[in-house]
Amino acid sequence: MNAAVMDKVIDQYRIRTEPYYRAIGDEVALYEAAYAVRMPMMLKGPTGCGKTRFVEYMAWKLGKPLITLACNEDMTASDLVGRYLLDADGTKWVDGPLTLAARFGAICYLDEVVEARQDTTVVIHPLTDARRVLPLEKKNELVQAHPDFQLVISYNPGYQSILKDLKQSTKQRFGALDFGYPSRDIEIEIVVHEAGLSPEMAGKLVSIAGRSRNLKGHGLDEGMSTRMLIYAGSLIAQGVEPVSACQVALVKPITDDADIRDALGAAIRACF
Amino acid sequence: MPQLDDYRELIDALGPHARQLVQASWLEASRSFSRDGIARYLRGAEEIAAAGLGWGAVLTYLRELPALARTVGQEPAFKSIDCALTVYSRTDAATAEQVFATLNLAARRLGDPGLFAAYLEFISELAQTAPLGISPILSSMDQLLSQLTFDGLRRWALLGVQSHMNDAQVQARYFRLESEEGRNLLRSEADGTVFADVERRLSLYLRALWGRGIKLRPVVHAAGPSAGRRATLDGTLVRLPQSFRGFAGQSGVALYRAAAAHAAAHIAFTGTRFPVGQLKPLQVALVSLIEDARVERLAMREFPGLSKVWAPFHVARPGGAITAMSLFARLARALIDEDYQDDEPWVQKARRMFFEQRDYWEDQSISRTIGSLLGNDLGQMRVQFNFKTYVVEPAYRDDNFGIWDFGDAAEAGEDDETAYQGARLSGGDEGRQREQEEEEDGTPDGEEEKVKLSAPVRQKEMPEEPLSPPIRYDEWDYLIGRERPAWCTLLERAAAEGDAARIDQVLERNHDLVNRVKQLVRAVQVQRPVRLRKRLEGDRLDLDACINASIDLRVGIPPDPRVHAVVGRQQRDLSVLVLLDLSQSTNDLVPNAGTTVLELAREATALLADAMERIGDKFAIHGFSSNGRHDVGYYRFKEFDRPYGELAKARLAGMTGQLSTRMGTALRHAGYYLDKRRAHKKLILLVTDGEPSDIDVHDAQYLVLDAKKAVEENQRRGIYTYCMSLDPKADRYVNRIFGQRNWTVMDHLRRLPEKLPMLYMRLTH
Ligand SMILES: Nc1ncnc2c1ncn2[C@@H]1O[C@H](COP(=O)(O)OP(=O)(O)O)[C@@H](O)[C@H]1O
Ligand SMILES: [Mg+2]
Repeated sequence: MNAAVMDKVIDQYRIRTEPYYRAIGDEVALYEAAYAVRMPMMLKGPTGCGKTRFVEYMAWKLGKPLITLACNEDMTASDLVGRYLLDADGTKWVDGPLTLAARFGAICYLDEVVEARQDTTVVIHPLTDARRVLPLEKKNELVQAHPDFQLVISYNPGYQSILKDLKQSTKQRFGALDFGYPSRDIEIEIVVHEAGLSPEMAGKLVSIAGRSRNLKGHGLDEGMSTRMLIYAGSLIAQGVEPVSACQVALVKPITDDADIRDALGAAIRACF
Repeated sequence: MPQLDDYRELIDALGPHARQLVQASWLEASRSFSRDGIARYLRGAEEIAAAGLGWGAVLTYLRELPALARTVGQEPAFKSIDCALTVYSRTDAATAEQVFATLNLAARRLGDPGLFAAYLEFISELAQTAPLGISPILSSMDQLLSQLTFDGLRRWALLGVQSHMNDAQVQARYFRLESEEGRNLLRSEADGTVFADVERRLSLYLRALWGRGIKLRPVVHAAGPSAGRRATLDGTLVRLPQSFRGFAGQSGVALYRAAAAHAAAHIAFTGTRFPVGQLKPLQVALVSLIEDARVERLAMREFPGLSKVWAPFHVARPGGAITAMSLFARLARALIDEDYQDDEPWVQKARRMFFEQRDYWEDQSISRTIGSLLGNDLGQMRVQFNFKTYVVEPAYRDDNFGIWDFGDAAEAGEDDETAYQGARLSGGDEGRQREQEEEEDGTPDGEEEKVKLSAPVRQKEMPEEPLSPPIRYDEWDYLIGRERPAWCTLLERAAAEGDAARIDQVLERNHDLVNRVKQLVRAVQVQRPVRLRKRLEGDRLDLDACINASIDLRVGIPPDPRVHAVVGRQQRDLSVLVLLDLSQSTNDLVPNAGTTVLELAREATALLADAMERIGDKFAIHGFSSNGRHDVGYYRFKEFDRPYGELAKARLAGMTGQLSTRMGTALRHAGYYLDKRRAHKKLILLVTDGEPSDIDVHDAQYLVLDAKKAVEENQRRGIYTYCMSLDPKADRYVNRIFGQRNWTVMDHLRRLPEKLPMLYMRLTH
């Protein structure tokens, strides 16, 4: 493949406008340092706390293309590395997202990597050690990763399934950044920005999230995420009455337990 | 129509009395049952006679059943036989006969076969938990069902069982509606809300708001109008009336919520108790009233919506006679409801004083200052006040005893002292009950969840013979930072056998839950190997697809690339060892459940085993209890590679609780069994009701850290440990032992049977 085609393929993965990301601590500097040595990174934290947004922002800041793949149970190794397809002239190899990223020097982000089966995730191993290679067995090719290539995975440690934990041998190949829910003021800022709400209303939503996070481990596996607050906020910005907006975007998605729904509903009313 | 003669043999077997009755009522019977039904009907009589219930019961059965079958249908009607036999097994023939005698009445009142079946189950259950209550409750059944729904009946009965677990006589009077309490609760059950219904959601509500666990407990009320019932605070424990009827157009739930929120506001903002000192009763009441407003105001700063929870109960209006009660109620409203207008100078002055201090509300001493000043004013206005008959208004507010320190009340004037005492006694049974419970608890701060009824651990010899030669395990000593070699001796013992049918009954009783679990199971069940065609890749070719693809190729159009097939086999390669803590403390009664920890653990295990069996996971159920380091007992109820059948169930049914909890050694032994398994994932699911402890260890840290060590050792061998703790205070140590996230604490023990299978499904999802 010539350089021009290469550029065209990879070009679509470039991030052109600055994504909004509100830094919470020194994660930006840490990530830059990790990228400088191409350390594979693991972003840990509950869902909806800004991991994806962070990678987008970093890719933009570093000026690298970003290839994102949401993992799931049915995913096979071929979905990552690529496969032969039949076409009119016979067969044709098509690179998977991981191969694409390795060849062209993109950041490859595997979101919720535990969702993938373990025999699938092992294909990333050779890319995460000093060799930085990706063997394409079917094609009989050994792809040497581009110098810009970096692998990033996200991982939710609150996920309570022993069948779906990452192997220790996988975990140890990554540097890790912890993501949690941002502090109150920052979370308000994010909700204001993303949902277009008044700081006052955003403050109430953040208080409500605090109520639900109090119930973590007492009936809830996870509190309400920043993402959920943004959903609720967007509904309110649309003119939906706040308590109903919270019911739709916060309470009902998070639990089916009638008592917890009742408790959360009452706690939400207490915040308005 | 079925002829009498066709059943000659069965009828003859019944003996002369019954024969007469059957003959006399043949027409009715033949119209009520199908052909098979009649045979079943007659055999039922034989069964009852054979069980030894006596002729009275047999005749009542024969007389009542035809009509019953017409009301609820044959099948539900025949279920009453089992019910009566269960009752008979726990009581006597006369009571069993009473069951038959009241069947038609219950069926008519309930008017629905499903409800009637539930009613029979309810009676059978009651026979287990309160056998002596059966006869009394049956004798008032007509009255009960004329006022209550079936749910109401069940709740009312449960309250009776719970409140008088230890006193059968009082319980009988409750069930016979001879006690004031029984009648009161019946009345409120008929149109109110009871504590048990709202407990869980209220405690979750308070936890969500304040981020901490605030314990809620019921207070049983003695005779008296329900209008006088108030919540009461006890340290960080909130006692709420066992039933509340709504006030001022508000539902009972709203009242409960307001009461819980008010009490929590005290816990959050009344930092220390007010010393009574030289205050007059009138002043005490007023200081309390100001304090109530102060804590509510502070809570509303954080949660403005609380005003909507409390305000509706403030219904006082200006005007009317000037009594202490009316002035208090108006002042309470004036401090909460900004729009409220009142031209009474005393109320205005109080309001002014209170709001002038708004920047200092954080300081609880302002309540005392304002309250005592206001008390002086009222004294000068010559308003009469009687502390003995005083009740706090509105009804959601607590009695405020919990915010006072009466310690030096004795030094106050004579009158005052009697006044306080009188007031405290007017709380009547509540006070006494509180003391009694504290004695039982052994912990006056009420932190303890379990009511200890069992004697302290008796170090009796274990009766069972060891099955295996002694096995020695090291134990970790954190003080010396290393293992004590071969320190503990583990002995495997034969598990006693009980009645396996009990385990199946658990499933029947919980069939709703079983069904729910079944649905979840279906989602994870091992799929039979199936060939999945038209795949992008696979271990073999899909012939049909290949042919189509070659045709396409020849024609020159792009072929469908999905030419492979795979054999799908979604195996769950998992071995699970359920490890049960069988220490003495599992014999403790669980409040509000009328049963013991062990019983709940048994039920939960039965349901879990059922789920695992359905999924096809490999599992074992083991248990342990220890008596010092030389004697750690270990039982295998169900082993890997053995069927989950009669024997395993009988052992589960025979499981008992004794002695102590040497957790680390048991975990090591469980690890030994799992290590031998060839499975991809290995899990120990530990169910325990307390922290590790043993008679020969006095340092609380020691066994905790040893257990932690055992968990880590297992982890290193690829064995994962998860703990389901039934000890509400477990947060302190489970995190330490099992590591973050590898544990759950059950806040409401009686939900264990439902939670354990669900937890398992989630863990292995
Ligand atoms: N620190 C942050 N800065 C900007 N937006 C954020 C931040 N944290 C969360 N968000 C918002 O929350 C949403 C969900 O975050 P996302 O990155 O998708 O979560 P995750 O990948 O952790 O599940 C984002 O779309 C974004 O709107
Ligand atoms: Mg109060």
